[in-house]
Amino acid sequence: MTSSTTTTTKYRDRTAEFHSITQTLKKIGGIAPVHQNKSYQANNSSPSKPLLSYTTRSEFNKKASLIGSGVHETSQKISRLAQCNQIATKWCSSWEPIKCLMMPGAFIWALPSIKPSEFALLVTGFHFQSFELEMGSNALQQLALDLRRRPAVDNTPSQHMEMSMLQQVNPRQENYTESRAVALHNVESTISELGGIFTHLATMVVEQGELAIRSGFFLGYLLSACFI
Amino acid sequence: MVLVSAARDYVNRMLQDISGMKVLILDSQTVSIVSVVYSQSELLQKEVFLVELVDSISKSKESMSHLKAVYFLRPTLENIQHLRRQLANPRFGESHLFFSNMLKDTQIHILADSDEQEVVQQVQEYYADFVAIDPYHFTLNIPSNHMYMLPAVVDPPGLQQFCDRIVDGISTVFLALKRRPVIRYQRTSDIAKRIAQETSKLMYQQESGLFDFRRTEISPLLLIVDRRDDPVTPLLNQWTYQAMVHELIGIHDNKVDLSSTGKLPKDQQEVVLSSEQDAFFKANMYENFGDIGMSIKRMVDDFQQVAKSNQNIQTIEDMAKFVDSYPEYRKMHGNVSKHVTLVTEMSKIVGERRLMLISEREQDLACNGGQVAAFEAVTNLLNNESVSDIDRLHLVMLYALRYEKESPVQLMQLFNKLASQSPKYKPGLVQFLLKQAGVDKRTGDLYGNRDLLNIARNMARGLKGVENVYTQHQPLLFQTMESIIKGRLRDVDYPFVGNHFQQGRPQDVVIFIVGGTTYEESRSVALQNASNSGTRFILGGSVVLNSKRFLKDLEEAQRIAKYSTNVV
Repeated sequence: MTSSTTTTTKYRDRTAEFHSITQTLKKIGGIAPVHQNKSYQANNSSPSKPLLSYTTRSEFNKKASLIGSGVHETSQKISRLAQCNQIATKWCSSWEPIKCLMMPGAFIWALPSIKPSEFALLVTGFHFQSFELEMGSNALQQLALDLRRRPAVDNTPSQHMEMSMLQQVNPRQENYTESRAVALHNVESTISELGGIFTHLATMVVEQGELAIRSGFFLGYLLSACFI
Repeated sequence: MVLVSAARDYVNRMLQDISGMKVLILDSQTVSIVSVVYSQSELLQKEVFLVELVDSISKSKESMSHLKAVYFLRPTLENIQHLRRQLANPRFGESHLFFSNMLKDTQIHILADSDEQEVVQQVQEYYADFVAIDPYHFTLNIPSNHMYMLPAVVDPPGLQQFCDRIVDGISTVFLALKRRPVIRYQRTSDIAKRIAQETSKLMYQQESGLFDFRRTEISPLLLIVDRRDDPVTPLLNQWTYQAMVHELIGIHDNKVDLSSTGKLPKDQQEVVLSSEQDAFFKANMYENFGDIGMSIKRMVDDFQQVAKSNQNIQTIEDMAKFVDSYPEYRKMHGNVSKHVTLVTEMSKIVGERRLMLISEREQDLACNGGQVAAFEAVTNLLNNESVSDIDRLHLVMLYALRYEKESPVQLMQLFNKLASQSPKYKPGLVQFLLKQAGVDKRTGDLYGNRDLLNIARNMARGLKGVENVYTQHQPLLFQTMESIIKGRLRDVDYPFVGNHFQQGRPQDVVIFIVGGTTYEESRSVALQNASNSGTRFILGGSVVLNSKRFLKDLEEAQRIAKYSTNVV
């Protein structure tokens, strides 16, 4: 009955129409920054190269902030998961949730001793559901290597840096490296924070595993006692 | 199965392609549309963990990005405004927008403009803009149903909205069926004509692409009639199960509110009466009250058998069996107590209001001639102290509708008697009914006494005798259906809209009653469809009437009409 009616009811999909309107509206909204670029270009004496570096820089900043927000969201999700898990194990003596958690738990244990290149793989392996990671793993490896080379300079957020850079055009090259360093530092600190959360989670998982084993044992004991 | 399965199909399709945990967001109308075809547990199976109303969801700010929002809304102004605000500050991870009707281009533009964060995954039109209460019966639950009685000359505010809602509902029924009908209407009704013309304009001009299904078979028929052509059916007391529950207690979206009867546990104060979910109800919804008593007794006996076997638990196997069958047992228990409660409640009311006595007289007034005897019987009942005010009013109305022209003096006597004995009676209400639905306004042959053929048929029935005096009345709709099947519906009385005419006998007919349907008519349609005449009927209306609602609409219209004539 249902299968036959699947073809007999009518519907109209207007998603494409909707998305094309959003795209058009975006384009209209995107005119303003283009104009800004142009005026900036007119004021500058050697326009071609700095403009390029400006655009690549802002692109980089954008990606760095994306990664930052992604990491932040993930850590929030993990802490929520941990809470849920705490509640779940309180009420449920089933093995299933614990088994599931044991796998990433073991994985996380190895985190502090991990090499940078491996770390990059780890990061790519991790699913950031909330945003699209456009960088390839090569870029990430480069990122990780840079992480180790550059000392932390400043703690101001990258967006602020971008703004100040628009004003000081001259010492461009230095500002560029500086902003890179700052952004990367931000990434590094969130990643280390994340590492902490993982460790915490892992200990919690192990504790719960013990608890479950103990309760399982008691259950078995109880059952055998009942049937004797 | 048509309407219910079409609406179910839409809900299915909405939910099945979106994986993960979902929240279903509805408005006050779509909540009825979904609730009559989908149960709570079925929603849970589709991972819908929360059902919310669109206006209440904007009050909370808490972010729930782990849930995906599935909106199913009517494309109204308010809903678009709600959506706009919610898309600007999204609380949920993804948004899937489904609309029950056609979106205007401006509306889609407004929505696209507010979706800055790109949370909208899809925008779809799923044409389920009708409440499919039974397989062949839909309603639109229009709150301001009295509108249809107001004279179009005044063009009261809200009348356009009333018409628009009906056109929306009717057009989606045909979209769901994937058909484009030829349209006819009752000549004497202005509102039926207006709705017919607007529907035709939508289907053949404004959205002709959408309604073009390239079918070669005979077009289905859409017939739009006015409630006032048959004012008798909603005034009669009912004796078949579904109709009786609605008349005496009230059914709304297949739910019965029993809280007024008192002394019931909380989970039984609202019970579901759905032919889709309750096999006992499905088998007995059109049976008369006496037969239901027998069926319920059988059901109780069966249940006691099961209950007894459950008491006899001795071995571990018995115990395991009991645990296995316990959910089924609980369900059966709930069902038995539901029907027993309903029937007990109704027999209490029947006793209190002496409905056996009154209904016999009502049926007589509706079906058989004999003015002198009828006048005497009604006068006697008006003098009877134990007859309630509401039943007195019904009797006088039924008498007035039948003998409007025959003896004006005696009619006046009844009006005066009614006014003196029923303090709650609003003077002029019966006269207003005659003005609205009197013999001069009607198209159909309501009492079967206009042409010779009908008179002959009535005489033949009188000679044969009737099976049951309480259910001898046939609604006018029954005649209309017969005429359609035999191709005898007169073009003069029921003209076509535009130049789209019927070629041959239609296989699908949708009859829409502006002003509301009754369950008696729904029963008539269901029985007609069961007889396999080759024509399938679907009945729809602006609301589902019982006598209480019919009189309430009448009073409201009288109040407004009085007010507007005073102004003019």
